[in-house]
Amino acid sequence: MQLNAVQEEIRNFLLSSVPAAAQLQDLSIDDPLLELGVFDSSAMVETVVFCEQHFDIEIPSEELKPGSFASIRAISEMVLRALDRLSA
Amino acid sequence: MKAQLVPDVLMAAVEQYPARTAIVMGERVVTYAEFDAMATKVARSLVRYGVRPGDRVALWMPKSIEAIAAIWGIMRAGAAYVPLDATAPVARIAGIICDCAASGLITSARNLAMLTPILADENPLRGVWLPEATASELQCAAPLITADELESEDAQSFSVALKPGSLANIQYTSGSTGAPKGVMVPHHALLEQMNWTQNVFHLTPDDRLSGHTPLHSAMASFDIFMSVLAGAALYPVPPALALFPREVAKLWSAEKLSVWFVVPSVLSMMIDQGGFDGNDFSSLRIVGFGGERATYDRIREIANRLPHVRLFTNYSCTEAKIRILRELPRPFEEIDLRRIGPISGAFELFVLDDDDRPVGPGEVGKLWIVGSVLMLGYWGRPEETARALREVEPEPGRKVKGYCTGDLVRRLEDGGLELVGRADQQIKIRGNRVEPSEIEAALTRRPEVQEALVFPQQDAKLGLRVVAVVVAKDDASIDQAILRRHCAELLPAYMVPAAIYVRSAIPRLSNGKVDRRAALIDIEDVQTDAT
Repeated sequence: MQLNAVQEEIRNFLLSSVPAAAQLQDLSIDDPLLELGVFDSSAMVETVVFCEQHFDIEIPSEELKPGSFASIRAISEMVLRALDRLSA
Repeated sequence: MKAQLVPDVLMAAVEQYPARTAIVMGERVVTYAEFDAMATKVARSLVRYGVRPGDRVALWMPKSIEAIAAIWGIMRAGAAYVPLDATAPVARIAGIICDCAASGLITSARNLAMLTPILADENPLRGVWLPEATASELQCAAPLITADELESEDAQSFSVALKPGSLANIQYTSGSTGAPKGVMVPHHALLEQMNWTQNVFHLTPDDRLSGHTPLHSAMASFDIFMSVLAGAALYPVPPALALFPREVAKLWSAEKLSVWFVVPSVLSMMIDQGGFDGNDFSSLRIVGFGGERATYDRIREIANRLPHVRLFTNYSCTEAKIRILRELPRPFEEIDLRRIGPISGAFELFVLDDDDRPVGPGEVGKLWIVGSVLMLGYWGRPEETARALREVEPEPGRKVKGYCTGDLVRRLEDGGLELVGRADQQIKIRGNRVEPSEIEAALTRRPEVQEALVFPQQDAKLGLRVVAVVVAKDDASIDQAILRRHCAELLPAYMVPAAIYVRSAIPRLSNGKVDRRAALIDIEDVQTDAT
């Protein structure tokens, strides 16, 4: 799966399912999601559940850190890492 | 000298422990002398721009050392601090600033940029303070005071004349009439709560406190005040890190914290994410739970993972500054978590029926609180205040002012109290009070919505959340995404319905009252069908 395709799907998910993200005028892939306060604790869990189900991956708990959720780009790279582990 | 006002507590700490650590965040370590100077500079600047005793000053910024110093600075200036949810939508924030006619706002540059377009030129603010910003290209309809100017203020401490019954804090909470309401807390109630908590915990200057609770939550009064009362060190969790319990666990292990005061779900997530594995919690001695009801299984799991730690459950409420701590038995054994108490503090609890008469043993009634811990009232809402704070006669011939919590409680044969439920629809989501009717009011502001009904729903992964049933006006079409976005513009994230179900009518009982049970069964059936 391509990085930009993953980015688009995560962006769509955030816009449709995370209320604070939907409020932002245009959400770009490098917007600092944590600084913008896009996630509360349940939006964080929902995002993890979405990635696991939608991309059929498992997100290890080591990935549950600010660096993996700092932006749409960072989340997408985390998804690709998980996909790589599956194909390895 | 016994503290008469909340700022006296900081004055005492700085006299006794000027060189000890007050607060640590990341690489920054601030002593009591430095922390006191930060607070004083905020206070002097507020006074310079015309903030007067009794005024309200809103605090809307991410958790930081500056934000916590500002809370003390506001009170030192004699004003009441109004802590606002750092993640709440800007329309809600602007509404609260106007509701309490705040004469000052302490915020971040990012927040101010969002607020400026919707803040009217005619606003109550005498100044906007940006304790972390130096840039001055920001525009605002009130004078801007940046970090440089704050820094130039005199650090010599001062005090203003207030009474113990003066307003210290307004705590905004979900309101059942469709808008948030402000609970007015006097100095003496906060002091009572601190002193009684200390009688149970005996915190010392060697303690290190967790600082996990968001500053706008009533529960944060533990972190902010108990650390200073004890001369201990507070370790505020940076907001971005607080979303990652496993990382928080690493931080608390590395910093050798000794006291955690948290919502229990955070510790459950920590355990689930492996945060208890490989970390050293040997310095930990006290864990207090607050903000939400915990299940027995969760508490047992936490107790088993922390066998050396004293665990306390807690019954508290926003309108009365009680904190009823109950130590869990060691070794951990089966207990009834619904039980409240033992009760100690400058207050009494009474269980009264609908006619305000005491109930007998084994009977259920509403829990009332009496004593010097009560709120002064709801800001600007005399009618609601009169309903909540009333004179009652809990014992023959003894008339006292009490606060009705709305919690339903059974008076047990042995004199103890057992929590049974709520007399109204109020719920708690991750420590936040939620009035479903406030969400219903937000939904029905949309032209396409005729009627709305909001429920709590337990999700295995996501915990408790709210869902809504809506009825369309005439034949209007309803778009769930648009309704959720509308709610997100008005309400904090935890109040935005996770799902919205469209129905042709709200089920009603024969007497015309909404049948919440039938509506709930209806949507739960849909979910079962879907899986």
